[in-house]
Amino acid sequence: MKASPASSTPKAKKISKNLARVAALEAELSDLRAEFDDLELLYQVTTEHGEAVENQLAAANIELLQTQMRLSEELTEATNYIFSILPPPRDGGPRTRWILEPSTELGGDSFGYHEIDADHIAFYLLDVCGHGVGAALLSVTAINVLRSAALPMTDFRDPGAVLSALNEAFPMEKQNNMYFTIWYGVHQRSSRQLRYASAGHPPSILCKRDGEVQTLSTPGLAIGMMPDIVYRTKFGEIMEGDRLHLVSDGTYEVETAPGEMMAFADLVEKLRVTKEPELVLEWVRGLNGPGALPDDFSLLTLEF
Amino acid sequence: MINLNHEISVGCLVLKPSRRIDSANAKAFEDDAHALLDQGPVKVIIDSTDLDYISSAGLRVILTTAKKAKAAGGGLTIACATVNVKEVLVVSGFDGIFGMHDSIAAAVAALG
Repeated sequence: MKASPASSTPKAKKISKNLARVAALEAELSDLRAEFDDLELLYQVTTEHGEAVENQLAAANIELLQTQMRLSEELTEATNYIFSILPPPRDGGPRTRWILEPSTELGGDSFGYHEIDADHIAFYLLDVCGHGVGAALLSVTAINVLRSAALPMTDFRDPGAVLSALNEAFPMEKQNNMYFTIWYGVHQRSSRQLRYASAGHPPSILCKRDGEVQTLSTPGLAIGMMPDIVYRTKFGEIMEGDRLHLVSDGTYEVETAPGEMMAFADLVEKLRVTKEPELVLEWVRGLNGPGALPDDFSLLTLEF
Repeated sequence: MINLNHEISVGCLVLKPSRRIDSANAKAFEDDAHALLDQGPVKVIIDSTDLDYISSAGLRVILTTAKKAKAAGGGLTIACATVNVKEVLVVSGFDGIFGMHDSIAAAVAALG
């Protein structure tokens, strides 16, 4: 009998076909296994990488927190310094009271008063544009210049001359484009004369003993905005019992309702009837609503 | 893109800010104003008709715009200020340096 190949019978054909299918499935399975292995490896690597990234992030976070803490400590230090150069309140001749509340940690407002000689006392309040460390640095520098009378050839009893000299000394182009507004006054005790000049600054408010209220200012741009400006001195009189208030624009520029700004006249009226700077701040805070005031609040009151 | 209202009137760039210039939008005003000046005009008029409030940040950008115009051989002036804005401009001394006018025509004439 002639042997016939297995394939030649129908059964053998079926077996052969099944074997081919098994081989194909095995090949497919092996491919899938390989793909699975690849994916598992990728997953492992990714997880490890993720953990490494997480660790890195955690380390960076700690570093950031440390830096933040250091910066915040330094800001506190700077704030302490600014408050340390502000003069202590005087008990008389004139009596002084003041409030300075920066809108952020560090602001551009500062002020001072000092005896020029036995007959003259100077008082001044300035507001550097903007906030933050830069503004505070210029503010402190300018106050120190005034306090130590460090302007060449300048008579510090003449407010106009002082502002003109400040304008020469602090051009904005040389002060990182910063400038400041200022009100500077001098009182001569023997003559009761008040001399004053201002540079882009809100008027000071003189509440006379008899109830009359005067707003005192002179026209002029902020210090450093433009070169070669001559600031003029104006004259007035301060009698015993008069109160003089020096303010910055942040003291009254608050929004009392959407689109409604408090007016300077409102502040003048409040100062006429209120003697305590703390009460004025409380009142302005109430008008402003919740949250920090938009600008530095500063109010220096001198009682003669 | 320039969002600041503006037009050219008798060779002057008229900027017409609306409502407020304060710390929230002063930078945008400055960028737009400077971009417009870069297109050639050197005379600038701030038309304050629609302006209710200007903060110290607003004054600052008017100053920088004025300086840029002046450096280019032109100048800046202010027109149609409302009562509140006028008060701020007077306190800041801007009225004396830049001038305040009751109409655009007067401002154009002042810039020459």
